[in-house]
Amino acid sequence: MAGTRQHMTFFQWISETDRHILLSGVALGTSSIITQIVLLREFLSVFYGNELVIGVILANWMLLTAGGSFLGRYSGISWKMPRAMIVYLCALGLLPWISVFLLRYLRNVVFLPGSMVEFWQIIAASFVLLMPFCILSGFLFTLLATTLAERRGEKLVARLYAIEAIGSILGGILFNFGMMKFLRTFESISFLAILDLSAAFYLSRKYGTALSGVMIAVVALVIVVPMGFIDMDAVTKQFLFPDQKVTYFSDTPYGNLVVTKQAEQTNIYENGVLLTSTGDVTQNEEAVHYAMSQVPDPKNVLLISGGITGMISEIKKYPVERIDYVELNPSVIQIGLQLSADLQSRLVHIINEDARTYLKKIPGGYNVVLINLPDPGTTQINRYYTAEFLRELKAKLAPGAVVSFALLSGAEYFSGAANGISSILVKTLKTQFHNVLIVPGMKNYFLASEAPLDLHIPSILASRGIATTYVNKDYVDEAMLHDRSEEIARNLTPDVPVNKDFEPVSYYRQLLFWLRYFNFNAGLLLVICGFGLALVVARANRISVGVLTGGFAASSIEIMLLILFQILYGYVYQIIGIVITAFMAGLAVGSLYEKKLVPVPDIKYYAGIQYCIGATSVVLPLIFVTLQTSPMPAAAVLLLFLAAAFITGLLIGLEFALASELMEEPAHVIASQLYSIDLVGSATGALLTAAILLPWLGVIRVSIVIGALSIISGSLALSTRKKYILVRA
Amino acid sequence: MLRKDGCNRMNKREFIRYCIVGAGGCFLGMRGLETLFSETGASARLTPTAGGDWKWEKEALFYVVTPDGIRCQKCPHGCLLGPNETGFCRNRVNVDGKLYTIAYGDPCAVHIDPIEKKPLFHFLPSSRAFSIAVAGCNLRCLNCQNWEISQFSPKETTNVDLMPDKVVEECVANRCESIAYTYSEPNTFYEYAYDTAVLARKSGIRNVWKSSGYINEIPLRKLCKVLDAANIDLKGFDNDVYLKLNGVRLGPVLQTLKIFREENVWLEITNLVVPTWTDNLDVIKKMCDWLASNGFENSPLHFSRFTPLYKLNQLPLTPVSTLDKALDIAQKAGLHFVYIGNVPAHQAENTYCPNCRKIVIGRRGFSILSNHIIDGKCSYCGAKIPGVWA
Repeated sequence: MAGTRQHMTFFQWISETDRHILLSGVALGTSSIITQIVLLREFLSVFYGNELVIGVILANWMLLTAGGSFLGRYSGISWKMPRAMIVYLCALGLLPWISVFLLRYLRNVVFLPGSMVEFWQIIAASFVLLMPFCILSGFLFTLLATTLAERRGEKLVARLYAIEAIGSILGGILFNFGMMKFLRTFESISFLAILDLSAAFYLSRKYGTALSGVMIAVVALVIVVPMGFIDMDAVTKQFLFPDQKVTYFSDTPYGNLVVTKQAEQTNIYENGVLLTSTGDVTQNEEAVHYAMSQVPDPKNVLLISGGITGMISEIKKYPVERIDYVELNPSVIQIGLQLSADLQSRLVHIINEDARTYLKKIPGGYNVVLINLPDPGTTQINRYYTAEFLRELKAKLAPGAVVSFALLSGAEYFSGAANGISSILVKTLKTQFHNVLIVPGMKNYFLASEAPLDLHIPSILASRGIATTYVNKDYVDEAMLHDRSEEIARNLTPDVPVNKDFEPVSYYRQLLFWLRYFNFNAGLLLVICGFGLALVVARANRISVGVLTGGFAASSIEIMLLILFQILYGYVYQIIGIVITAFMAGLAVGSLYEKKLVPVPDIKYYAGIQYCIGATSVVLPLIFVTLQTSPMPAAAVLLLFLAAAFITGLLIGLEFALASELMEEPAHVIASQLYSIDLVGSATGALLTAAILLPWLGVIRVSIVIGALSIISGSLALSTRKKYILVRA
Repeated sequence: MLRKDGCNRMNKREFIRYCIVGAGGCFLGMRGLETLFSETGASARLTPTAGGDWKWEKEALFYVVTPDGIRCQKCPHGCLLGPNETGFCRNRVNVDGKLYTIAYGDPCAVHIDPIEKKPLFHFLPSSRAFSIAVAGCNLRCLNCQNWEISQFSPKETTNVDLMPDKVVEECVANRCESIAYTYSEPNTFYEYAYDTAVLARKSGIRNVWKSSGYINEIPLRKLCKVLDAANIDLKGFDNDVYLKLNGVRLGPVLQTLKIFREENVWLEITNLVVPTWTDNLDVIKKMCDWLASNGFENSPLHFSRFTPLYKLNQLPLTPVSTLDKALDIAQKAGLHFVYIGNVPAHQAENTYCPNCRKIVIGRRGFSILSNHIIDGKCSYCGAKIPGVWA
C-alpha cells in the first residue's frame, strides 16, 4: 500500500492551474450560486413558496445541470479553449437576466392573472426557464475539467470541483453580505453580468481578438447604461400585478414584499401571496371578536402577525391596557405605519422578532392571544401550530386566557382532507387546553382555553356594548353558527397524531390539501422520478452509486439543517446563503486536501467516507433536536449549524475527489459521469426530503433513512473491494 | 492509480438483480405512495356502478344513444360518453349503454339558510330555505367558493342518505318554507332536484334554484314548471372571460335568463365583480344595457364583492368604490333593483322603491330591519314592487 501521497499547498495548486481555467471555474461557481439564490427567490415570489415547490425548483436546477454536464462529454470542442470560454462566460452572465425578465413578463401571459399556477405548470415553467443557464453551467464544468486534464495530462476533476466550490464561496459571501442588503433583483443580476463580462473581457484580451473585446464592452454598456434610466425592477414587477399599481416592493431578508393600490384599496403581498387588504371588515372582526368576546376583562393582548390593516382598531374596542404586536418582518411594520395610525397608539408595542423567540424572553400574562397567520402550509408557519409552541405559549398566559387561530374553510362542506387537518389541530390544542371551540366563519376559527368557551358571540358583544359592523346578529346567525360548529366537531377524527415541531403532520396534511387544488397525481410523478432514478442506478457502477447517495445525503442534510434552524429560530432566509457557503467551503477543503487526508486511494477509505456521511446524517439532527430542550446562545447554535454544514461538505468533497481517483475512465467521462450523478442525487434529496420525507416521517426517521442509504452504498463499494487492485504509480 | 481486474460497470447478472430490486421497490413504493397520497383525491376514479353497491343512482333524463356512445343533452357541453365514461359534471355515467346519474339522494351539504343568503331579496323575506347540494359541477370556476363540493364527484365526498321524500320531510320538520338546490351546481343533480321539487310542490313547499344557468332549453323548461324562484350567476358579459374564468360560454347563460323570464319563474341575478377579470365598467355597462333591453329591469341584480378563493387567491378583494360604480351604471341603465353583496352594512343592501326612492325593505345581512311592502306594493307611494312576498 502506498504511504502519504504527494499533496500540493493551496498556493502551489493555484499557481499550477491555468489562469483561464481558474478564472472560468471561479466565475462558474460564483454565477451558479448567485443565480440559484436569485432565481429561487424569484420563483417563490412569482409562484408559491412551500417546500414542495422549493424542492421541485432545486431538483430541476440540479437535474438540468447534470444534463449539461453529461452533454459536456460530447462537446469535442475543448481544442477551441480558451477562446470558446469567452463566449460561454458572456452567456453565463446574460442568461440569468433573461430568465428573470421572462419569468416576470410571462407570468400573466402564459398563466391566468391572479390564479394559482398549477403544480405541474410550476414544474414545467421552472424547467424551461432554468434550462438555458443550468445546461450551460453543467456543460462548462465538464468542458473545463476536460481542458484541465488535457493541459496537465492527468485527471483533475476534483481540482475543478474545488475551484467551482471556491467560486461558490465567493458568490455566497458576495450575495449575503452585499447584494442581498443593497441591491434589488435586476441590480444583482446586472452586477453579476458585469462580473462575468469582465472575466470574459480579461480572457479576450489575453486569448481573443480585438473585436471580441469591443463586443463585450458594448454588451456591458447595453446592460449598464439603461439601468440609469429604466428601473427594470419596478417595470417588471408591475407585469405581475395587472390592473393594480405597484407602490412599493422590497426583497427583505424574510421574503419578497409588494404593496399595490387598486382604487381606494391597498393590498399587501408577501412572496406573491396576498397577505391582506385594507377595508376587509369581515376578516378583521372575525379574527378579533370571536376570541376577545370570550374573556370578560381582556387587559393584555398578544397579536402574532397581521395587525396592519385594521385588527388593532377592533382590539381597542375592549378596555385593553397593552397590545404586544409581534411581526417578524420590520418592513411590514413600515408599511403598516403608512396605512393607519393604529400602530402609533400608546397601547401598541411592536416587536420585530420571531414570536417563539420573543415568548421565551418575557414574563407573559396575556389574556388573549390572536395568531393571525396563514394555514400551516410551510414548515415556517407550521411551528406556530405545534404542541411545543402551545406549551410555550400556555406558560405565558393569564388564567382563563384564550388562544385563537384560523384555517381557510369550505363555505358549506367540510371535506375529509380539511377534516384531517382540523382534527390534528384540535388534538394538538387539547394537549394544552381543556376547552377547544371551532367558530365557523369566512375561515374556521379555533379557540382554546382552560376556561369555558361560548358560541353566543353576537349576544355577548351586544350585551357588552361592543359595536361591530359584521360580527353581530344581522350577519352571524347564532343558530346557524351552532349547527355548523357542532357539525364540524362531530366529524372530527380522534385517531390522528399530534402536530409537533419535528413531526410536522399538519404541514404534511396541508401539503396534500394544497395538491387537491390541482387534482395532481403526485404518486405518478414520483413513480416516474423513481423509474428515472432506477435507470441511473442501474447504469452506475459502485463508485458512482456512492457519489449518488452522497449527493442525496448532502442536499438532504443541508435542507434538514435549514428546516431545523427554522423550527428552532423561526427564520431561514438570512442564513440560507451562509449555510450553503459553509457547505461549499467544506466541499472545497475536502476536494483540495483529499490527497492529504486519505493516505491511499483505496476503496475501503471510499466506503469509510460513506459510513462517516451516514453517521453524520444520523447524529447531526439528534444534536439539534436536543437543542430544543437545552437551549444555547443563538451565536453558538449558528456556529454549530455552520460546523455541521462544513463537515458535511468536507465529507462530500473527500468522497467526490476519491471517487474521481478510483475511476479509471478518461477525464471527460469521469467529470460528466460523477458530476451529473452527484447532481442527480442532490436533486432527489432536495425534492424527496423537503417535500415528502420530512413532513411524512419526521426529522429523526428521515435522518436514519438518509444515513442508511449512505451506509448501504458504502457496503456495496466495500463488497467489491477484491475487484480493485492497487497499482503503485 | 488504480486499475480493475474486471469491468467496474455492472455485469448482466448484477443488472438483472438491480432491475428486480428496482421493480420490487417501485411496487412497494407504489403501495406506500398510494397510502401517502390517498387523501389527495387524485387517485380516485369513478367506476361504473350499475349492479354495484352505489345505491344513489338512477337512470338519467335527457340523453340519446348514438353510434359513438351516449350523448348527454342536459347541458350545452353535450358530453359524448363511451362505455363506463363519466361526464364533465362528474356525476353522469354511461353504464351498459344507459346514462345514469350517481347523484340521486346523496347530498354532501344539507343546511338551513336564510333565503337572503342565496341571495334572494324579493322572495319570501326572512324565510328559511332547506338547502341541499350534491357534489359535481359543469363549470370550472377558478374562484369557486365551494370547490370541495363542485370539483369532486359524489363518490369522493362524505354524503347523507336523503332521498327526495326525506328532503321534503326534513324541510317540513324544520319549518322551512322552501327547498334550495344550491352550493354546487343543481343542474348536475337535476333528476334528484326535479323529483324532490315535484314532491315539495305537493306539500306546499316552494322550490328555489341557485345556479350558473348552464343548461339546455328542454330540461330547463321542464324544470321551470316546478320552480318558484331562481338566482342565476351571470359571471360576466365577455365570452372570452367566461371561458377562461369559468370554462363555459356566455350565450347559453343568457338564453337561460330569457327562459326563466318566459316561464314566469321569479328571477334574481348575481354578478360577482372579480378584479382584473370582470370589473371592466364598460363591460358591466354592456351587461346592464342587455338586461334592461331584454325585459329584466325588474329582476334584482346583485353585484357581489369578490374575496380570494380556491385558485384565484392572488387577487385582492373588489374595492367597494368599484361596486358603487357598477351599481350606478346599472341604475342608469334602467335596472330598478340593484344590490351590493359581501360588503357589510352597505346601503345597497336595502330595497328602495323605484318610484319614491324610499327604503321599502331595510336589510342588514340576513336581518330584515323594516318592511314597507304591503300586498306587493310600496306602503309609501303604492308603486308595485315585483317579487314573491307571500
